[in-house]
Amino acid sequence: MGNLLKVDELQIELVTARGVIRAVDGVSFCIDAGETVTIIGESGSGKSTTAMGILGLLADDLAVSSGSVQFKDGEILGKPKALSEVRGKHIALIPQDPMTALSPVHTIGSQLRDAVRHSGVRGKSAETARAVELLEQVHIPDPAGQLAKYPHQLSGGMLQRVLIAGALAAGPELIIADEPTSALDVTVQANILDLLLELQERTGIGMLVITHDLGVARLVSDRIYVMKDGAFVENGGAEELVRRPQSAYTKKLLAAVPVLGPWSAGQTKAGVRA
Amino acid sequence: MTTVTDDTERLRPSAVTAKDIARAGVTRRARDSRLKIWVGSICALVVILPVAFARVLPLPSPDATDLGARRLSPLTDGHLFGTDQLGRDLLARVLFGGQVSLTIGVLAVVVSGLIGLTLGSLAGYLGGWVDTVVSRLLEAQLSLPLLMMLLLVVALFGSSIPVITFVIAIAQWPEIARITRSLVLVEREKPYIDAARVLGLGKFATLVRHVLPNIIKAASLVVLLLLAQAVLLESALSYLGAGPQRPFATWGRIISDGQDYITTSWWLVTLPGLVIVLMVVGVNLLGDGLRDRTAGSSLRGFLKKFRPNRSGA
Amino acid sequence: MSQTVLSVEDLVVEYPVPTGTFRAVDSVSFSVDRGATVAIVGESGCGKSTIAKSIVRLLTPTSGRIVVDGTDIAQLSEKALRPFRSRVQMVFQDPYGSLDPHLTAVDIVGEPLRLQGVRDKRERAQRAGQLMDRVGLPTTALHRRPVEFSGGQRQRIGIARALASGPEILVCDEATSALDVSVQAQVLDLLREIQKDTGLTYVFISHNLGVVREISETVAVMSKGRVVESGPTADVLAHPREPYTQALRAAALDPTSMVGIKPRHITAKRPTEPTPVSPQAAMAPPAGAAS
Repeated sequence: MGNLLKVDELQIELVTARGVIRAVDGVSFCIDAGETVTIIGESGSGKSTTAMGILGLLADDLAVSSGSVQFKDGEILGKPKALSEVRGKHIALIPQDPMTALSPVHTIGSQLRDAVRHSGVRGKSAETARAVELLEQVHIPDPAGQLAKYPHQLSGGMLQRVLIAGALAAGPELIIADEPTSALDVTVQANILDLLLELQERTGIGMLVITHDLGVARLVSDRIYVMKDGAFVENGGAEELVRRPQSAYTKKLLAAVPVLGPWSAGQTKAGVRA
Repeated sequence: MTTVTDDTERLRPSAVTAKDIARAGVTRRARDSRLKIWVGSICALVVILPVAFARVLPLPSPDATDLGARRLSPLTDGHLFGTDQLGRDLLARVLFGGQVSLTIGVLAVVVSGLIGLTLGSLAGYLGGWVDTVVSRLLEAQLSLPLLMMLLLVVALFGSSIPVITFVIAIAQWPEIARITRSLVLVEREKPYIDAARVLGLGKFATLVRHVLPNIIKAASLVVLLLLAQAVLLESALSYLGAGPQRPFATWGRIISDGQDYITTSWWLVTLPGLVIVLMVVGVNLLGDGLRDRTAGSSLRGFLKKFRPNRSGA
Repeated sequence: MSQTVLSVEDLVVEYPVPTGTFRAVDSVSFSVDRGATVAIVGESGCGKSTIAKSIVRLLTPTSGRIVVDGTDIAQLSEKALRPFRSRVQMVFQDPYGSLDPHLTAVDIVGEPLRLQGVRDKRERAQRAGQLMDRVGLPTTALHRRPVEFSGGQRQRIGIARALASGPEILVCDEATSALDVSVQAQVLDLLREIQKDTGLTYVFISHNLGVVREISETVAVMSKGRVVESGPTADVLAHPREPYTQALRAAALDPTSMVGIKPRHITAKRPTEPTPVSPQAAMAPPAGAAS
């Protein structure tokens, strides 16, 4: 079985006022169907640039990409026609900050209908029905009622669910989630990650997750790639990498995560609240 | 077992070609801004320098009439711009007139800049009733027809140079105040302003020490662009007869003097007009270029290219 | 022997909103002993940042007392407050916005010194250099502007600036939340070190339970303006009593304690998020809320 996504020696250089910066320095990895691969790194490591580069979302007059990105054995790097075939329909993106990723002047409904229309469904009633169906898939309460709302009326967690619904519109085989929970509260984060895991169990989509949070990476991944200064320094199974890291950098990252320790529910003092 | 990749030894070649660099956004922007600065400066200086040094240039007096040499076309008898209907050298008139026009323009912009920056920053920083009063004041003024208002003031108070300067300054302060107010509103919300307050810095001290230095560059750019507008306003007033009276012959007056001969002696109107256009376009281009400046297009960055290549950083 | 250096009593902060008033902080009380650290933890909108701003008097609380060394500073006028400013300082969340971009490090760290009357520029520079050294930055960096520093370094400059006033109480408002995890660990180490050397008292605001466990001995858990649970940090985090604290604790993902691949059971059956986005929405019952 061929890989869903195969990235080989991807190199992305950015032409900036300070000179040519090598944001991504030859990374290679692959993702199979039903599998979640996470790229973890600190700020400036190049992980988001990698995701944007794979989807061809970096500005033409800024980035020079080389290497190879193959989706289902078809090359897409640097090929605008192949990319427009694949983007949105076969590979979908869940962008970083849910509060700013949607247009503030359009309703949720109209933006979801746009996503649905892009996947081939035509006609307002068919689009609306599909939009409601998608919102149900992401467990939004009262989906029909939410369509008329504007982004500022929804919480961060709800907006993230809407973005996930939009990503699922065309039934993609691969989802790229760029820091899917960084802007969310920790309880909301847990719900969103659970949703992503559920979707993967149900539909068998592949996922590429970009994050700086080791907890998130450990929870959602099959395999983790650790990125530093544009290159991978270590990769392995999620459990293996966290339990037995080998590179100094991975060890340093893990050591820096504050330890919480085990816990169990304490006894509630009846009726007493602080 | 996890896989450790240590590729630090292997150096991958760059895939960036000279063509990529040439068409990169940052290169284009730097080039555009540099071009604008150069072209703008040259156009503006071509007008401003001769005007500034008019007294030392070998020119006939702008008031010297020579009825035997009336309405000579440009480039005859040593008159670069020709002569007007009283035989006065047009170039001399334009340059000396320019001194008055530019002086009024610069003074007006300085006065309006001071008023606008002060009121705008107070309104933006203090908010409350100060903001209400200033904002309503500037909105009220912006809603009045500008030229009518200026003519009224001139009719009431006469058309001396101080009055004209003051009138143009009053006309321009709302725009500066508005921009300053917006800039201050944005800056005010930033944490370093909170930090200054927590340190114990008073309100005014915070405004002066922290807010103003960070907005002054953007606000000054607007002031520069308004210089061109000030000169145009002065020309309009002079053209309508409300400008500084004789003997001061400003650009607007020269054009209005020549308008009766527009079909027979085109240069009397066109050449002064072109001088105004050149200066206004020059200053505007310069302002645009300065605003769009990126790190690589500063004069220092530009000169670095001519310095011999040093090894190391 | 240990004395209470800060005592917050029945603090209430209300904001006017179109539909009436919104109570961001609803009768919160806690106290901190000298040299100790209390953490205030909660999710967005719980009021923890509002409490921080009240303590440093960036805003004036609606009612309640904030007692610093015996004096209630909650309602003091600006003038009366001035001598207390140097006693209570703040480290801000955003390393990129909390330093004046047009000043150099020596000016930033020297400003509190100037406010205290140190007129001589050279003396200010020397003391600023000592403070930079204390926070682990080279004195050669004194004449650089914020843009030339990394996020972690800027945060250190912010700490140096706060220390320059010679405060007794340092309020850290999500001081490490915007930093990379390895940098965060360094900054926390630095804060602990400074506390050990100087006996400074910390009020540490955070949403991160792990950070709270590292830095504080006492914790107050907040939700919707009220303290839901409080007590010794180790106790509250190991044996949370209130459902909200338990929910927070359960949602905190600790990579080293997970077992297996994609252990979904950790996150399954969580209550859907209770907090809507705007204070106005918080007043009205959330539309169609499931529990």
